[in-house]
Amino acid sequence: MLETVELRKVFKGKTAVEEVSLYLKEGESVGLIGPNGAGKSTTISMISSLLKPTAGDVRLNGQSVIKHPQQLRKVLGVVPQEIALYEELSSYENLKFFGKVYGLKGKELELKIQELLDMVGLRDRQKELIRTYSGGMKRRINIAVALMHDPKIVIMDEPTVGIDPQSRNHILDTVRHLSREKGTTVLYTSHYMEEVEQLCSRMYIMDHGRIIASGTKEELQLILSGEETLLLRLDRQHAEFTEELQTLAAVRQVEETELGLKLIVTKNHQILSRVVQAAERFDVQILNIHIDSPSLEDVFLHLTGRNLRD
Amino acid sequence: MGIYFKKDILLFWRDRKEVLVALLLPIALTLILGFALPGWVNNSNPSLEMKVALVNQNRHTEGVARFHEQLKGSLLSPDEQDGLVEETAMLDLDPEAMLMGMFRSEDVSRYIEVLQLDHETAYTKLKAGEVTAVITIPETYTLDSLNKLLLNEGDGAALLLTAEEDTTKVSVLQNMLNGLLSTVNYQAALSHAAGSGSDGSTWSAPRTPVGGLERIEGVRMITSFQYFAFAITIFVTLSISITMASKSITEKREKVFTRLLYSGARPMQFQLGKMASTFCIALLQMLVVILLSHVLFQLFPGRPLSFWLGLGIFMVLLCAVVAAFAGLFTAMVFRMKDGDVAVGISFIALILLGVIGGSMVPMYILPDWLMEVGRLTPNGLALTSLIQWIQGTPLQELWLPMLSLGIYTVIIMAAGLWMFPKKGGI
Repeated sequence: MLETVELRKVFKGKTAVEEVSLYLKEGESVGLIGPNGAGKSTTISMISSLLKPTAGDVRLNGQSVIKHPQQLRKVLGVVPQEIALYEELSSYENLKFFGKVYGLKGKELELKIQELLDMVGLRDRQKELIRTYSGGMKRRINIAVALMHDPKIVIMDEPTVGIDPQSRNHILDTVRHLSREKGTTVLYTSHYMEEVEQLCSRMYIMDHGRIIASGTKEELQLILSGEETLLLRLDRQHAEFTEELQTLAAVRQVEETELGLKLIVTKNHQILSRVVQAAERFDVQILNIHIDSPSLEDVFLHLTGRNLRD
Repeated sequence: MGIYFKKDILLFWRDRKEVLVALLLPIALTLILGFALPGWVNNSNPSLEMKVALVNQNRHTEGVARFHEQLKGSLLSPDEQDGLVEETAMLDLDPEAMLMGMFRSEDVSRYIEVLQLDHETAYTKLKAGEVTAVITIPETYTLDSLNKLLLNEGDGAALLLTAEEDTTKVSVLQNMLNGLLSTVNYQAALSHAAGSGSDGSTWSAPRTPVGGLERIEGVRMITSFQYFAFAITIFVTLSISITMASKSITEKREKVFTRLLYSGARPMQFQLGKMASTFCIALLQMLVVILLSHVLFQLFPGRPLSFWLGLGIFMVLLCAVVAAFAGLFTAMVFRMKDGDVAVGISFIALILLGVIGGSMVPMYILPDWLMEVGRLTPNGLALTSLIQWIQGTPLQELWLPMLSLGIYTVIIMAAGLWMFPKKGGI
């Protein structure tokens, strides 16, 4: 339905996005993840026709929309990362204003406003000014505004940043509803891997302006199929012990956690005994060991060398 | 455009602080300044204080004698000649006394000091810059006056005003003398029209015009309250353009404008909506403030409806300029990386306009060159036109400032539309 072909964007000689090719099939939810500065927002701006690519193309149903974005804008809804609302207007007034901008009027407009207020669970507070809302409520209206014209494709740029769990769940339910009930195509970016895992059937991982991996959850996890995760619960952190573990050949990565250490290791029968021996040498007591398959977070860390929320 | 218009009106209305400032600030300042500086506008001020030399070369006795000789040589009957000679004796035609009477009046003496000098001394002092001008009563003043007054012959009485420079002070003096002479010659014309059989008692000495600029015959005085009400209101109205533009900072920063672009909305409609709403808010603000000020301070008691309609025309023209400024400042907010800097620059421009355009201090305390510049500013044009309208100048004589305000609107609006980024600076 929507695809980008080798998108490239250069700002004042600096390449922000390089050869980004991705596609969205009708009705599917796709995640776009990457650390800050990876080029996600620039990519979204190009897809949504606000930013002209230096090279490459954006196609809707096979037709280029770079020069004539009107067709795309009719079917595209964008939920920006910012709360792009008028704080001094009520949620009803905001929805009415943006609905009119999209060309809705009369009964159709009123029905749509009430439908969306129901969807985001704020119908009973529609007359209150946005500035009186909590962060989560604002984000819910932020989404509702993008849905006023019943878009076929929705791009959500980190819609759950800095909100309470209740609003977050509400937003995740809304995205599920859009995808499953309405068949809306969703491109979802987030700093929360579990959200992308829950909502999206496929995902793209971006870093330094490029897509470095893509596929379903299972496909991405295969990247680390020869590895496993060891979660060590320790009585204390010990810098020299950590350094010692990093010297072991089977250890790919060591990360300090709240309760101890997290190791990504090559599957190896002897690794456990070597870890235990090292702990004894540095007089560190291992309280618990948990062995798990690598998560998508681990894949991300492995690919980018950074945590998603760094 | 209508939806943007409604949105901007609503946003302004919800910002109660701005509403209160727009409505109450001008009234409060008018109240304070009107009471604190009651004579600042219509009384003397340092910029109008001057010394004037009066040179009396009139040969009164000789003039009367020559008039009598002229009568003898005329075709008039002896009885008519005797009647006119009697009238001549009854007339009080001492121009020096008349002028000094005017200059000694309470209002004029506050800022004009008259030195009675001989011709040579007067011109020496004029060259040295010790006096602003020399008023010369010519030798034939009495003869010319009598010819005009009793025989309706010649151009009538004339005074000679000599100055080194054409300054505001000289203009004030010239207006006063014109007023005086007009009165003398008008009385002569009336007397003649009443018939040659007049016994002379119907003629009265001319009323001396007093008060400088504000009391030239046919011109109403402007009070401090009237002046400050308009000067301050005009400034606050101008500032609405910045208030409206500053709201775009949030629209830009919070990506509300970006969201509008996602919808395919045309940026120009956004800007036109901003201008239209600014026009309505500015006009409403001016109307409310001026009407409230009128009720509170009795600004224009007894003025007819046509006067209020004239005021309305100038307000509409000024508000159109304010709306155009809102468009320009909004374009600057989107064009510049930091919208706050754009608003800061706009505010500095507004203060400059306020100072030189007479919205903060009366223009006449400024140097002449700056005063001329100030009169060309939109607020200066509006203020001087309103003052002239209040003083009774016919609307048809004010077409040039009205046209100028219209031209300002078109130019500023065009600049704003040209400057507004086609994609809102994204």
